[in-house]
Amino acid sequence: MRQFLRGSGRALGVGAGYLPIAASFGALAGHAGLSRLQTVAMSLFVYAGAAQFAALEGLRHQLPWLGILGVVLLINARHVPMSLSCRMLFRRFDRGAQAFLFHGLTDEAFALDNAGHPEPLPYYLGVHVCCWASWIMGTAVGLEIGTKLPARWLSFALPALFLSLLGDWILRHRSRRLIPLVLMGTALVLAAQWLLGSFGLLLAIVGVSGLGGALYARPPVVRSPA
Amino acid sequence: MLLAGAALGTYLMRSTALWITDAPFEKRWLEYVPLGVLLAMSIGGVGGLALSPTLMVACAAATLVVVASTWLHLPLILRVFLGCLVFGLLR
Repeated sequence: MRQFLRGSGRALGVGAGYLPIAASFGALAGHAGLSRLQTVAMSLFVYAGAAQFAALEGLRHQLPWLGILGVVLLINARHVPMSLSCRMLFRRFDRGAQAFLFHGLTDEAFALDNAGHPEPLPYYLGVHVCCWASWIMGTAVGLEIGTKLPARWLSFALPALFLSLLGDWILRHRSRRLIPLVLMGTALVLAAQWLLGSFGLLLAIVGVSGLGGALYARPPVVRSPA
Repeated sequence: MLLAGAALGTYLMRSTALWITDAPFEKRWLEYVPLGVLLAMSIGGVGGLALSPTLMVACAAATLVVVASTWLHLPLILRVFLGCLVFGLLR
């Protein structure tokens, strides 16, 4: 239980960031023609922010469902390399636990899972349950009260979380040999996003990972905390 | 149909590691996926908010505060709180 609470506590920042986004989704879903049940079901089972908003946009423009589905899957394709990367972390657990953890593998949960040394299963369950519950609660709140949450303050929560975890990753792997990869990776992400939008982010993730694999014969070394 | 397809398709992609065989995917590049995701999401997230000169200043200041608080090893929730506070005050 202690590890579960530790994981949940670690995910509180994500939860705070999810609330206004999920509430916006809940508030907009009604306008796109989704019922309350469909809206909550989408947050429960699809559980992917950008893809859910893209689906709403498609529904609002009355696009064919197959086209909307294609866009949703294209946006979520970045989860394939993330899943493969988490394989080493999760394979200590039984398949049922892995099946549950993989459902909650959002960008933010992935970042938290990979932000430190390997942890016991309850820790990861705490992270994933806290993130998932925040997303579902945010959707329900959005259905009830619309977009009245203080987005002005909370809109920087997820970028702040990713910046923090990026800083943690760099500090944990501090090594001069990683500097070229971080610089080239930054340039690649900027170029890919500018040229291709959200699809560019998928290419950038694969590109940075490929660059790392090509540049270095050994995996990144994790330093002990100072 | 759309909901079922989106849920199933997303889950299949997220659980790729569960149902794919070991050998071809035990590659070095997978060690660098976390860096790729963190870089893409950090830059994409900040870039997505910096849509006007005022927001750019707010984003830059909040980014600096988060980087400094990370350097100082402050707790994660505090770093997120400080970033949000500076961004909310300046935007």
